[in-house]
Amino acid sequence: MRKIGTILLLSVLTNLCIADLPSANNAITLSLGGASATYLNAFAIENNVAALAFSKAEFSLNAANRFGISDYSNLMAVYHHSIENTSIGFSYQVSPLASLTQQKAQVAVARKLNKDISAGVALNYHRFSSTDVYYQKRSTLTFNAGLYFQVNEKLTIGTQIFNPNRSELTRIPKERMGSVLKLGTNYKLGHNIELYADALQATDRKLAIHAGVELSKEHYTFRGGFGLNQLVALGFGWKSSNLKIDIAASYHNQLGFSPSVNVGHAF
Amino acid sequence: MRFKGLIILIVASFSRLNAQTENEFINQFIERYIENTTDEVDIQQFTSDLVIYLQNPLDLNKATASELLTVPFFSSFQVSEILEHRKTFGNFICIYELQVLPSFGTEVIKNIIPFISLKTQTLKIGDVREIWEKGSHQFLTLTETSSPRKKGALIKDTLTDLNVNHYLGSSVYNNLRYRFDYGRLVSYGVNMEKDAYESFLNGNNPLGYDYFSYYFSLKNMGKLKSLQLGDYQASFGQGLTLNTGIAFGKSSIITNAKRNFNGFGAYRSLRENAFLRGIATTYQFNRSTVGAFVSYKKLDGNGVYRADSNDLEGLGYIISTTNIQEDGGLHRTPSELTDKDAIKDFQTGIFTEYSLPFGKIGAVSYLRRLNQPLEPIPQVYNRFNFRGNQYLKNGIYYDFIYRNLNLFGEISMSSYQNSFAQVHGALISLGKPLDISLVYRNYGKSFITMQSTGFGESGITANENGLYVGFESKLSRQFTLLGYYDLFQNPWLRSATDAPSSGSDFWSEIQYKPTKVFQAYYRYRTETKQRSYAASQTSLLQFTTTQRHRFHINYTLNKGIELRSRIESSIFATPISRSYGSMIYQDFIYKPMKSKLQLSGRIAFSNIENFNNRIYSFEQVPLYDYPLFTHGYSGLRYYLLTRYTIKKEIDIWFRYAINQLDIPLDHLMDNFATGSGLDEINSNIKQTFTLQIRYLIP
Repeated sequence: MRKIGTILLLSVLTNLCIADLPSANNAITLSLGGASATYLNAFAIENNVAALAFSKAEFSLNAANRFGISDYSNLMAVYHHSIENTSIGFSYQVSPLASLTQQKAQVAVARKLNKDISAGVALNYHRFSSTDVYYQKRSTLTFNAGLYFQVNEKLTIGTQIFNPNRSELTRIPKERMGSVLKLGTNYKLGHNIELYADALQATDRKLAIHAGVELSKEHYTFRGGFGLNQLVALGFGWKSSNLKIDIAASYHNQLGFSPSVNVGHAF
Repeated sequence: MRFKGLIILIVASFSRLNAQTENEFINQFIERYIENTTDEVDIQQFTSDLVIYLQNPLDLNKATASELLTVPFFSSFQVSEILEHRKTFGNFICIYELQVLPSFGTEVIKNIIPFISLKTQTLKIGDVREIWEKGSHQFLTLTETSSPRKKGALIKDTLTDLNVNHYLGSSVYNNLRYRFDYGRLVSYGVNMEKDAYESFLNGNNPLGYDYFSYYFSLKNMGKLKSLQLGDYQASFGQGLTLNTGIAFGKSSIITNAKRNFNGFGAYRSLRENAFLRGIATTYQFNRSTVGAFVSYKKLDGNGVYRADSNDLEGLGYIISTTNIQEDGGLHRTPSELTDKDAIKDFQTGIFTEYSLPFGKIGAVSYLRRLNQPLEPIPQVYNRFNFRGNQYLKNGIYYDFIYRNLNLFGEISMSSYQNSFAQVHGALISLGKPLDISLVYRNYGKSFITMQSTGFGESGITANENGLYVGFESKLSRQFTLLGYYDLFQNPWLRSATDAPSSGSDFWSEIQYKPTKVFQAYYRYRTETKQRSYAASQTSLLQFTTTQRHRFHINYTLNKGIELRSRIESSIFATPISRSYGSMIYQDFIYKPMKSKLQLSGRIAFSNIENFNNRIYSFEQVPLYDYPLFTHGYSGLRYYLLTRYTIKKEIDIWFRYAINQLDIPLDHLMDNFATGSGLDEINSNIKQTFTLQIRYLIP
């Protein structure tokens, strides 16, 4: 019985870990259906760390909820700053569930290799606290590394791998953090219309495809996207010279709505 | 003057081309040729053929039509254009002049540049000392091992009862090769191989290696066009009557539907039965060429034995064989060793060709005799397969080129049930906008498939007829569209298909190259076939469809670093089920100019629900090694290949690869094993180490 219980818990934990990896929770990523490997903002520390090198300095907060269930809430703070061609970033996020609390802290560095290309790497510390007597507390280190490449004025490619070494959570039985490899692209369709698309392969998961469109008009931004995992999303953004506010909601045809809001300050 | 100006402009446009390594020039051809195949292709022979041209580039101004047609990097139209250009304008002034010919774009020239030249030294066969002094020697050895060891090897360590089938040798694979080349005129060499888990220097192999091959090849000595001694290969026409060498299937090279075979050649590969052994010679008299060969060797076969009262300990006497293994060679276990050299194989044949101003026609005939009859285990689907110990095959073939039209084909008859096979095709070039290929084939169900490699859906030149249409169109400077559609039928049953069946194969690709440093393509393929399913209650055969989507990009970060990314998915559907597979990889290639060190690596993740959803990918490997990897599982695949040039003459390749399969949740507490039978390993992780050393004496 204890073995079955452990396996079930591992199953839940694995799913949550993998589900959390692309962190589609921040409002901009969510509103683009999860397509974010080429999006330039401080949340690139999660989405594609190399894109930090081309992003403007920023501090942002995100609060998100999944499917309207209070236990499935997530808070995240990101900060990123650039000095010439090098950017550094930090993030902290916590997902307080009733039976399992996940915390993640990141420190990242990204650098422009030339005017079109950047590379970056982030070191991540994960901590899981479970009410289960067997599991209790576990922690591990992972890293993600990415590349960002502006092919021409219209086309951009981004790729990121998360946890290629499959960090270990428990030794017996051998439970490891999932790995994710994703490839994304951004195409500037017009002066104020951009298309985003990501393909993402996580270990033991089907290939996931996400795509979104962003329309900008002066201070306002409208976004819409979808994921082939039966998800559609819409979002809205407003920005002044320094302040940015983005809200988004996604709808999964079985699990329901997931809202998210970002508040950020650009430097 | 205008022409010279154009040449200068063309040369200037090539000045920014990145330096590619020998491996990459060869790999680009191999990848395009083998990308659709599911069978293991003889990479070593193909690589050897290309390496000869790297070391002794083909002289564009002096090469004959026959030589131009034989090389794997020119199509019939390109050859026709080269010959026409030479006739009209005289010799080429520089290689980049090729770009004025309709079939040669920048990309094509970039890919073939190391294989062609205008200033090759004219070699003649004369003094033996001169041949020795001007020739080049190459020593090559490749060693590979994997961890953990397979169950078949562990049995040997742990069991005292060695009557249980087990592997006899270590997990180390090794080959050792030597070759000498005097241009493309004289060549000889020795190849040796020990497969993983075969014994070495003991047991059945007191001389060390399990496989030895040796060859001597002489070409173009007056009227003697070719003399082959030892191991050689023979390839004629479209491969219906006789081809012991490689032949590729459907691919992105639409002209690949045509075979450009050219008679006898040295056998430099390590496929342990796929060659002829003896002597072959070819003479040329004006427009006529005649040749003959004799071969005697031993083949692996799955023998059927009759007990002998005088041989109580042994197997008895072989009375027939259920198969002959023309591509076999694994002798790892006592039972595999009983198959080794079980059958004696004698072959002899003749051929003749006549050159015409617009092409050639030829005929080939050969007889094969085995010392024991081939008697496949009776099944309904193999009812028409060859049975017996002797057969004769005769074929006639043609290859005509007129302006932008190339017609080719072959008709062959095998003596077993007087069965026919025929293939006829046309390549039509409408200049850069559009190339088209058409191939019709009809292979009788009793046609003897041994040593035949006709173009088709399956690798078997029998029981199939079909029509193939391929096209390639340059839509604009940035976009190219290519693809094919193939309809085929099997008039008789096949394995796992209990009735006559039919199918189709559609494949299309759009390529996008906006800049010199970036290129991308999207590819779609859908293949429909009929198969028998036991669960089906409604009809005997059900249609199965496999769809594949691939998106691939290459981008060069700078002159030393290139990245490649790929996403591929497959959907396998039957009327009652549907399964998915996907794979994504990221390649890193570091090859700075003038550096002694080169690196390339890959990170790949795959999720495969069913082996029918398996996805193939081409990997960077040491020269001559097999590059196609099958993602038939869910998990990770990483590899790193390094090449270090110690001196100009010495290269070392080292490769490390690791697969990690995802362990299903219900196996988390168990010892998870992969593979089956003696190949089983008690782990979800497999690591492979490869070391290759090459020493060249120019």
